[in-house]
Amino acid sequence: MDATIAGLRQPKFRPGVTTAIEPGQAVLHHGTTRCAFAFEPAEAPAVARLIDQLAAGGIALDAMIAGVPDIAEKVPALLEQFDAIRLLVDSTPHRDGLVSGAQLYREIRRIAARVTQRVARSAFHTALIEGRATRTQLIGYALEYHYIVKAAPGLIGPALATAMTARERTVLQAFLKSELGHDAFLARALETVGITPDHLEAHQPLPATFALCAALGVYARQHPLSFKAVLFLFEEAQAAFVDAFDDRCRALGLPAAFYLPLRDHADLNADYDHADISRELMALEGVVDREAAVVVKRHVALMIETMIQQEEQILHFYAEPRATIARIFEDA
Amino acid sequence: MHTDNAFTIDRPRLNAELRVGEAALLLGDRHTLVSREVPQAVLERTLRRMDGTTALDRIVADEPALPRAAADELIAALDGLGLVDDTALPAFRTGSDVILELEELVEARCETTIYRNPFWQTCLAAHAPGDLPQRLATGMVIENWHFLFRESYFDAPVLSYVPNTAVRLLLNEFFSEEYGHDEILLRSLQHVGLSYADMQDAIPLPETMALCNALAYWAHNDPLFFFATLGLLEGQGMKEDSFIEACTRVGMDDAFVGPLRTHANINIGAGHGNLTRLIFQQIPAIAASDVRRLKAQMPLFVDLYDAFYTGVWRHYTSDAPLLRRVSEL
Repeated sequence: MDATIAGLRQPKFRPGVTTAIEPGQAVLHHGTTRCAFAFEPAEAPAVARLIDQLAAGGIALDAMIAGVPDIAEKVPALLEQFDAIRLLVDSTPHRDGLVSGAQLYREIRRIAARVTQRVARSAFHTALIEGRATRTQLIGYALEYHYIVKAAPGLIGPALATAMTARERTVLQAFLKSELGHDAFLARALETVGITPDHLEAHQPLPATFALCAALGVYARQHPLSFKAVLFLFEEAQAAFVDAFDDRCRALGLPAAFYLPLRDHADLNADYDHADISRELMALEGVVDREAAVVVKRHVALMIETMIQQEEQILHFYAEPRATIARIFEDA
Repeated sequence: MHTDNAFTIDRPRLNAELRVGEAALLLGDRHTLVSREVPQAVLERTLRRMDGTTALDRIVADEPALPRAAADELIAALDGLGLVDDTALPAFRTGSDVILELEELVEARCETTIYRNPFWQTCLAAHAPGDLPQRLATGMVIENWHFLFRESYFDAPVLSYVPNTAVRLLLNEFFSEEYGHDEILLRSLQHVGLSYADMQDAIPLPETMALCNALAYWAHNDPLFFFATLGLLEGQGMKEDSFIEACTRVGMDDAFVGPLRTHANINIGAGHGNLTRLIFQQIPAIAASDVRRLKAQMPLFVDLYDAFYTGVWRHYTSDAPLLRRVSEL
């Protein structure tokens, strides 16, 4: 690492520093800190100028030194001394792009709407409505859905440790609690169409399904802000989709014990009002800087694209009837 | 004495001296064993066979006068008093054995996926200018940059690998050699007009991010599996990089290809392709259930990696804008 002063691009006296130029010496004060340094009479104008520059701020180090040629050689050491006794801050404003969590969420919802409009042809939904989705595809959909539900508590869990306020802890704990045990619920539904518990446990998700889980789980650990921002994508009520799913299941003669639990699970999410969880959590965020906001936006867009890919992969992979519908590679 | 949570013991080893008293067997200097239903001679023979080399099942089978229930009760009592150990081990295999089988699975899956991927087919068949479009090559470097830019996301969780010091040291050495490689690739990108600021605004393809997140997820939650992915990622057994060779054959600028070669040569020179083998050679035992999981997941990883190349091929052979930007969302 460089010397401390190197970190200050445009050094400036911190608020509260007072300066006085007396014959032969300059005196600086901040609280109980007092600093004085002597100079030759001929150097007085340069010293006064340097102090003015430091009081005003906004001048890069090189330019500051160039502005006082008479004492140029002495300036770096002097600034290092000022820095050491905590008289300097950086005057460069770092405020560009700062937003509140709630504002970032507004922008995210707009981005989500635009990305969805641009890339989202809900291929699976369309296949349901047009009566093209097959029995294998419907079961495949439930298998992939089950994988996410099964993984959910483990994905959400790490986020609990990052909750730093009582409110956030409450919200996240309630959310986690509301997700527990749903895998058993869906497992029973899948059993009615012949997916044994062993097959279900051995089932390997499609790449996009795993990508969704990995993203959520990794953001919960590595970038909680992204985790909070993407949750709404998983929890939005999709009544039209659930209706179409039920209709198609009935048309294909799949048992009600298969599709009703999926509907119940969707209703459960709607009841708990999960869809607002991102808003609630983001509103608890303080200020978000530009880079963090860019990272979150990138992650939201990618999550939507991956969700679209997941639907395409389900349709593609489960297109052909399979002897064992679950994806099991252990004998590969 | 009976304990409800007594473990089963498959291969018992009595850890106290057995002596024969007048009306009872003496175990160590504090315990006596009085036989009731089972004759004392049978009991003594049974206890003497508990030397850690014979399975309990065998001992019971050889003693018709020792009912199974009595044997179980005896073991539970001895266990409760801390007088018996179990030398049996759950099924396991050595790391160096398991990794070979995992490599075979990777190889088999690659045959039907990555080796047939249009991106690699194009690279292998490229000989003349135009065979490999610059846009596709640039795209490959962009996505590689995204990957390397995020390398700490998935390497960092295993730098603290607590279970095995030798493995931890290998990983730290590896990371220190990998660190900063995104900067090397940035030089290639700068040659084709992309700046650091452009890349800060850029969005990777979903397939690239899927790979990064999958690796980070495994690094956090399933480090053994993460280690198993490094061979394919780091070009195990590769003497050269087919992509770079293709760029060279079709006559792309040195300023573009040079940094790619620098990056590849560091990896090849440092033997990164061998890392997975070295790691697994340091792992004495992997439980059978873990082996099963590692094998079961391997096709998923190969598919995610294949999807990375498919994504590169799809996006960078299309007429979509070269960079996907956050500022344009």
